[in-house]
Amino acid sequence: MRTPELGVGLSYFGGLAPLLEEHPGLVDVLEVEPQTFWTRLPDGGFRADAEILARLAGYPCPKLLHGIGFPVGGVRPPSPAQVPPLLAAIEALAPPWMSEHLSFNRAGADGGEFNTAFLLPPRQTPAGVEAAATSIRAMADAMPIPLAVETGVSYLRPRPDEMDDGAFVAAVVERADCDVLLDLHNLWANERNGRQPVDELLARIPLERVREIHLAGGFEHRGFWLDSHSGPVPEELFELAERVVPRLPALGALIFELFPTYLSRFGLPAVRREVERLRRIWDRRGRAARRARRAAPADGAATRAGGPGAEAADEHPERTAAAAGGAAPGPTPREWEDALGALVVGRPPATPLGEELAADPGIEVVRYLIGEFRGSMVVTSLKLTSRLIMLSRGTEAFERLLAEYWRVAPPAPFAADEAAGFAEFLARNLPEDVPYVGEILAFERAVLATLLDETARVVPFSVDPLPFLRALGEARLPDPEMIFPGSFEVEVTPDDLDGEAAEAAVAQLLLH
Amino acid sequence: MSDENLRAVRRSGTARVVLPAKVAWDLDLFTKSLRDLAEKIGHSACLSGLDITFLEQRDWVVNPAGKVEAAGGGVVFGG
Repeated sequence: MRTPELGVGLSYFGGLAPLLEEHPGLVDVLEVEPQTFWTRLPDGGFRADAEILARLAGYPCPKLLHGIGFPVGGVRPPSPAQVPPLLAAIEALAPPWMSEHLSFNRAGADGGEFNTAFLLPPRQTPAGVEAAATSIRAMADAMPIPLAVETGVSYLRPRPDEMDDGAFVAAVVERADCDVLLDLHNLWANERNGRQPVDELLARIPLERVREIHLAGGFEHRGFWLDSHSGPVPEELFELAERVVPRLPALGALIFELFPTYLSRFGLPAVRREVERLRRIWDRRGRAARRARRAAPADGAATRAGGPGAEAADEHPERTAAAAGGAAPGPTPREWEDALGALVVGRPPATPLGEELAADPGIEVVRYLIGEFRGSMVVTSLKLTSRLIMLSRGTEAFERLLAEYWRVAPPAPFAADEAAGFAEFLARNLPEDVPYVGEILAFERAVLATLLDETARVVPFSVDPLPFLRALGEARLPDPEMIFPGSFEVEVTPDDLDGEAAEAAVAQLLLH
Repeated sequence: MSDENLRAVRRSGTARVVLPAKVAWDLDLFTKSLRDLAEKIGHSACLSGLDITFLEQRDWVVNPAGKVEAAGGGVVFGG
């Protein structure tokens, strides 16, 4: 089946809703990251926010699904627990295809599996090709629509014992018989950080399998170009996309990505400008794209039936390695994932491979990014407690507490889990010199728990809580004259409020 | 307080404030939320870069003007 040509779109998050409502014709397609509106259930399953799903379904344009939590590039197949909510999202949004990352995020030997909460590069060897293809097939077989895999970012140096990036992607998608989501910002970042040049990579992969492109902006930090989705598409990357797009006969969508945190500084008008820039690329595909379509094998039949890449990966994996520059077997994919996963979550190297990887400057960058990500989840979900400690004892004291927790607990990809874990740790290690921190923490734990299980809770306070909460809500400590000791309780209720009622309630708090 | 969503009552020497969790959780009174609640407590959006939420909180706490360039060792944002 030929890929429908959807056009230009955005990766959706709630903050973009005003833009979409004000400019209903701005995008041709919305890409939805379904896990962003799931919460984890105690039984290991997931619950999707029905309200958000209904809102998304209400947008008149087509939608795509882009998985972010269950990458398919590693030895551990994606969790089957995600299948029911994914199928529900497919039923509600009717996407013509979906995508996941050719990366991994789980590691840990001997039953000690953990999530890195960060997408990591798989082992690029023939064995890694087999592992990734098996994971991809496991997911693709459970889905009723085609699956494309996203070319990932890697902050690591290229290795002499691995296939080059393009050869690896080519071998995986041929072996798994799947499509490609070409994330040009990832590949451009990889090139800037010392990996394979994008043009060289593109010469290696089956371009007729590219269904979708991602474009984004980033910035340089500590000598690395970060795939931060933080702003406009850099001009050099834009020009690259202009050259590449007409060569992709099956391209169906061109998506601009922005990480939600950056919206406040980037602004909705700038998002709109980026979509309009991308539309120029899409509209100029024209004749060249049609020529490429005619030249491409129908439905990718030639390659799927066993083109050169498929043969190399299928029957003679060692040839793929040799063609890629003499990759030797070396560590297995599982050894690679366990060693790399452990290092980036801050554990000391436990194997010779770990020792070797630890010398790669990219490891420190990924550790830093994971630390900032975990800290961001904590300060988002335990905002008042975090502020109270930082305001009372300084940010460094708070960061020391986080670092102590990072040492004993691996990351949790769901913010509520990360916050709950840190809250439990903090409750056992309360800073004695921060007045009322135990009460504020108990309050925020109750709020988080009520949001998840919709059960009311009562939290005792030894001071009037409202001036305290108001002050922390404004990122300041309460005035000493506003601390009124007494016997107080806050009843946290699961009442569902719309935006206006919530604003009214906050306004009441401000007036208190 | 008259608002039924946020009311304080005094019973047997204890004052009780009733506060909906959705309001209590988002008590950020100086910045407008740009994400749905589910997006905040759920899985992060696609991330292989830098989430600056923590940087911003640290900086806003120490610097109410919210000058982010002072935090994080000279991070420069933008493409």
